[in-house]
Amino acid sequence: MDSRYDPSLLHSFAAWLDSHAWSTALHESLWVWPLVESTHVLAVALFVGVLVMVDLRLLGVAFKDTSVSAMTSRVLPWSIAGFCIMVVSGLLLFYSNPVHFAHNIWFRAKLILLVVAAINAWAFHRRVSRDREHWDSRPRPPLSVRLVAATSVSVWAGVIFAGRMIAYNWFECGPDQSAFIIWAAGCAVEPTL
Amino acid sequence: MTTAAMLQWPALLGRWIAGHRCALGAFGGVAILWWLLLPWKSNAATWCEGFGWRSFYEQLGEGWVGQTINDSLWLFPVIEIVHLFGLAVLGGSVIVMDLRLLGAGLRNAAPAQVLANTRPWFFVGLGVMIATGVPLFLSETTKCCFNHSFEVKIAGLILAVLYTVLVRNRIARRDDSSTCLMQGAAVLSLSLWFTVAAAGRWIGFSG
Repeated sequence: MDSRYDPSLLHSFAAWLDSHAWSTALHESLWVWPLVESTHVLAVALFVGVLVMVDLRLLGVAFKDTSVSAMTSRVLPWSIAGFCIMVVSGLLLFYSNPVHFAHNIWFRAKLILLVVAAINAWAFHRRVSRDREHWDSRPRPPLSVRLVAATSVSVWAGVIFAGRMIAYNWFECGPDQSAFIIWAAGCAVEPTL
Repeated sequence: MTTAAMLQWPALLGRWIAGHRCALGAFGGVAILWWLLLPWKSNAATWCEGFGWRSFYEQLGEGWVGQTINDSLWLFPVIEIVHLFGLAVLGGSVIVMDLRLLGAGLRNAAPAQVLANTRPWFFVGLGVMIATGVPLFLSETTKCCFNHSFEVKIAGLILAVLYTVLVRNRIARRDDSSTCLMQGAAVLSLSLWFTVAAAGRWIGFSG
């Protein structure tokens, strides 16, 4: 066990994954890792890109002559397909270096943002199913719908931000980190000598 | 599901293939082209050194934009992230339009209507990508000069922009374009933009 990290349930799970030979093989592979990583990045265009088009419709900025139901029933499924690619490639990337990612503050921030995005998506479906027929073809949906769409765009932008920052190791557990990082990344507290 | 209904799948598949023959044909053509071109490598290093590009690239990198980015810890990642936002908007607009040309997505709307809706966002995405891509390039000009993926990306980008604006959008705007032409145009568009994005990502992996 690496002494830099505080043991926790998440840590022991990550350490168990890390002990797999396949995890190491994926981490060290010359071609598979870059291909999985590229799939993860390019799927942003399908997942977030198509989702942004739907959100722009809900904000009343684009596709004003297209009904909201046409966007959610005909376009949104393609975004969900992209989301599935993101999840599969993302899980593989996590599997390639689990302990490292589990103690990365950007990775942890990304997970929190994913939970926020999930709650927002749930709120969207609840809000929309209430009275969509009244504003389905209206160029500008009601304020509450526009707020949910704006939240969606902002949270997913945050997920991209945090996701890209995972690759930068400025906040890796070590003796030079601040108390906040030690707490947020789950580092083992350095013994004071 | 009844046995009779289950036995229909070969007929359904056959009808799907017949209905998408031009898309499948275009995809096959692009796949063969990719297969032939993938092992080809221009000798980027020879180009860079031999034609005296290197000193020009270095000069570009010595400008204040490249230097400011290199002197900052945060600037490069933040510009990269905005570059990704641009990818999402550009990719989303391209995909929604091409899906329509393939007979999927907003297939109850005319292609011209979908184009009118996606076109502004295509230019927004492209603008963001260029506005962030140029500074990223200026921060590592020498690396790009020696990088084969960078060559492919820039060549693909010029092709993709010209093709989208001059060919695909015209096909989408006309109301007499055949289904076959629309399918082929969409597959070519998706393939070109995929190549630009994939080569762009590969700049970071190749030395």
